[in-house]
Amino acid sequence: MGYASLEPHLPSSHAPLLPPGTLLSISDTQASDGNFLLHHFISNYIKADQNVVLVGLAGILVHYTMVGRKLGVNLATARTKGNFQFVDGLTQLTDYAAPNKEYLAKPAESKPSSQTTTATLPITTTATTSGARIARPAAAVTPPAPPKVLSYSPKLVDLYRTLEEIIQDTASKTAGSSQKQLVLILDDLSVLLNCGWPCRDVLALVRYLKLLVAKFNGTLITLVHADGLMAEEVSQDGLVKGVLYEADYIIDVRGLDSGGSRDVHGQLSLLHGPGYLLRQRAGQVRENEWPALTLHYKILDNNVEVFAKGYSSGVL
Amino acid sequence: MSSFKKRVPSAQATLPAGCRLSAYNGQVLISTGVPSLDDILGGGLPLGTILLIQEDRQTSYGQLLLKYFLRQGIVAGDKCLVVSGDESPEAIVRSLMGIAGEESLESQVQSGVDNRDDEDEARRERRKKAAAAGGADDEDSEQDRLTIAWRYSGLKKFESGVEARPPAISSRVNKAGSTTEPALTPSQIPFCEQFDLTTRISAKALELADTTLIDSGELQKAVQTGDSDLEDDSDDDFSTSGSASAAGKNQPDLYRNVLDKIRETLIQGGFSTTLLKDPSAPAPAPGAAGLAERHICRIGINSIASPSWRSKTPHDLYKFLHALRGLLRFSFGAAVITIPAHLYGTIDQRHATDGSTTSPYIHRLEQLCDASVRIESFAGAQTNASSAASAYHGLFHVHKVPVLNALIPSSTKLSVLLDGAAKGSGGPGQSGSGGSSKGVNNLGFKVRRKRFAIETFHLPPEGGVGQRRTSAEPSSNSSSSLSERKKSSSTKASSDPGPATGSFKKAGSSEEGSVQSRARSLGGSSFNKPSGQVDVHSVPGASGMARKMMGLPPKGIQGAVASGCSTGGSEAGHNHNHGGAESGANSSLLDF
Repeated sequence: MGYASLEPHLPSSHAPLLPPGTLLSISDTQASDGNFLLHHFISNYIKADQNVVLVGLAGILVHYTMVGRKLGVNLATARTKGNFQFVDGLTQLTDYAAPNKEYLAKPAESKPSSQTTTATLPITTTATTSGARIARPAAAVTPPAPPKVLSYSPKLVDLYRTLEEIIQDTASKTAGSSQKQLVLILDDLSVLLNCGWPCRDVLALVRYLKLLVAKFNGTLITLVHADGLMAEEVSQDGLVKGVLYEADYIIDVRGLDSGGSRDVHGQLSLLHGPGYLLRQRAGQVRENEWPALTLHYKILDNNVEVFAKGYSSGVL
Repeated sequence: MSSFKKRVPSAQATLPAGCRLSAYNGQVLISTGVPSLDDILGGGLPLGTILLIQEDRQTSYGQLLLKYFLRQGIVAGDKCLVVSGDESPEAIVRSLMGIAGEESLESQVQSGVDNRDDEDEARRERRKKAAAAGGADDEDSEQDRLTIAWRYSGLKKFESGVEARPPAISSRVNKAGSTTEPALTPSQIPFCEQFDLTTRISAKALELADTTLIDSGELQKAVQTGDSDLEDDSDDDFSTSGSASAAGKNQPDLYRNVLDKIRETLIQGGFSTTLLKDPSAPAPAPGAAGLAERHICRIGINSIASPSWRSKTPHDLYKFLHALRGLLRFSFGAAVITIPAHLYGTIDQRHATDGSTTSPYIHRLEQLCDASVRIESFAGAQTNASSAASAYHGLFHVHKVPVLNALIPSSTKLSVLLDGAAKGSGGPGQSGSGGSSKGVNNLGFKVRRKRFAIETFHLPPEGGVGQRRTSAEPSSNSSSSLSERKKSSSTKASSDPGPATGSFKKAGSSEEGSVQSRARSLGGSSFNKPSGQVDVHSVPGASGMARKMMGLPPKGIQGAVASGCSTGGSEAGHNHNHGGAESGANSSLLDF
């Protein structure tokens, strides 16, 4: 269930999930990667049998599957079940990578090759110590469809349309039972900026997506790099500030001011976004739903310890 | 003939040549050719990742690292793809170093250069002796026991570097006459070979090497003249026949052209797992072709984004890296890219020495790479930090280490040098801080004939290698060369392997007594030192030391200058470091 020590500090009204219709913005720095928070929400939503759409702009599916396994969540079966959708935003996002498509195997054949070779290489080689050949992983027998790919287009609108399709598809698959919650995770917004789309368009995309997921009883989680150094660049700074302005909840991850440490990897600031304040003023928010506070964290092999300032194992 | 067969572990056998599995997350790793850099990255460079090396200025250690990477690839029989603009890629390949021990038969080794490794040899000798003493009974180790700072005798030996695995040189030399390198079976190919910078790669090895060269300078010209059907000077099997994308060629875009060529190489060589040479052909069954038959494609890009790489917008390089990452993640390949980072950023950033050199542009590039390191050589430094640390050739900053398939980077678990805290060492977020925190080491590097060693950075012990306790009278020949001093110090180290030298590596102020006595005994020796002395009040081993050292007064200050550099809390005592501020440390670069 995600990181147990982080859980009490997150919004409690829909615990362990986030309240639908909201935007959680995670900002991190290079020295302290915020990616580990995404794993928390992915595993929480999967464990609760809700829908997850993950757009991997920086990470690949294998990464999330492997970490999910460490956290006790099987993303492969979740994919076959249909409540986990991975969108590949890495291989064909830019116009530089567009010709990749020409070399892709035909859909019928592409499944095994894309699924097994690199993807399961680490798994299989460690798992099989006795077999002479690499044993096929169980997933390869009935492979789920290869991940959807975000391919290049000069306009971000097309990206939005693709995502909209995927979200509708995911929601409709599981619409039979009770209304499920949905979370859309963009794993690195800065990539979109780096790949040449203007800041204004990226912000518009975030706003559209927020409205879109709200329709499907969903939450949007974005990750953006917010190094102090980057504030000098207008577009980068604009993106960070713009996303924060849209956000209801903000988690700011950064290293300690006093430098790196063995027992404390960094600090998490849980902050109220403008959206939260608006709802608070309107009286829609319970008292102490999201207490704004600063915590320290330490990442372990398959867990993350979150603790109050000064309560690290090195101090106590 | 016996029917019994030795059972070999199959997991190892299925790996491609020159690879190994990460002990932490099962990632397939390849060596960078430098054992200590492998250690920093968590055992090696994971397949499918990009390592960004921010070059030093005025020296070419960054390119040296790239050469190690490529040379190791040639040893392992990997495909080497070299992209270069400033220098012709052919020149880079031709100037690769040779394997240590292989070509010593041809007596290319000059005796003058040979001395440089003597210091290491002596240290190894001492270490061996110390280990032997530790294993023996108490009677023998009695004399090694500390008499003054006896409290510290229980501490473990102070190690600042990573020992390279001793390669089987003897077997190689025997084979060198008859067999060639690729004749070795995959299991025989060492993960990391030891190279000798004084030798060049043999013609035979160069012949057999599977290289593809892309001259981005030529490409640039071709792009500008609109010549879409250009020839690249590839050595062997690979030729640019079918253009990758007709659409891409229409626009004059250097990065796109380079990426197209990289893609083509990856696809033609069968390194990619998703992109196929012939999409219409049926895909081969997964796992049918064993991993052992796989080869690795090593991509080395020299000085990307240097002035000779022209681009319309900075986004070109971002897109290039993003696309390359997407390509490599699903390929049996890894890339090492060097970039002249000092060309970017504002003036004060360019001259800053405390880790804030990173400009926003470079920083964004780092986001798109999996690992990033920065080399800062003392030769190009504005300050005279070099004088205080003549044992090193420069500082080595780790900005980012690969995090793949795990929450924490594997180097956090495995790295000796980073010592359990890979995060935040020299990161720009902490640039304002003193950086004094436990667990984060400052790293320095030194280049020896047979190794590029990255070690934890610390001041040399007082009275040690190049330092001297008593102030010398200004002598006329103050510009004694380093090799001379090295020679003298190494000879005395070998001639006087007493308890004083034995306790040489003990951390903290335990050195105080022994080193003093040693320095006193050396007092009469002819030991040329320049004039001027600087007191450095400092704590060995404390981090943030490097930055503190940058704050030393510039060289040329005559007389005693006491600069009280206070350091963050540490338990060890002060080290009074009387020594010449000016030294020939800058001349300590190998001329390769």
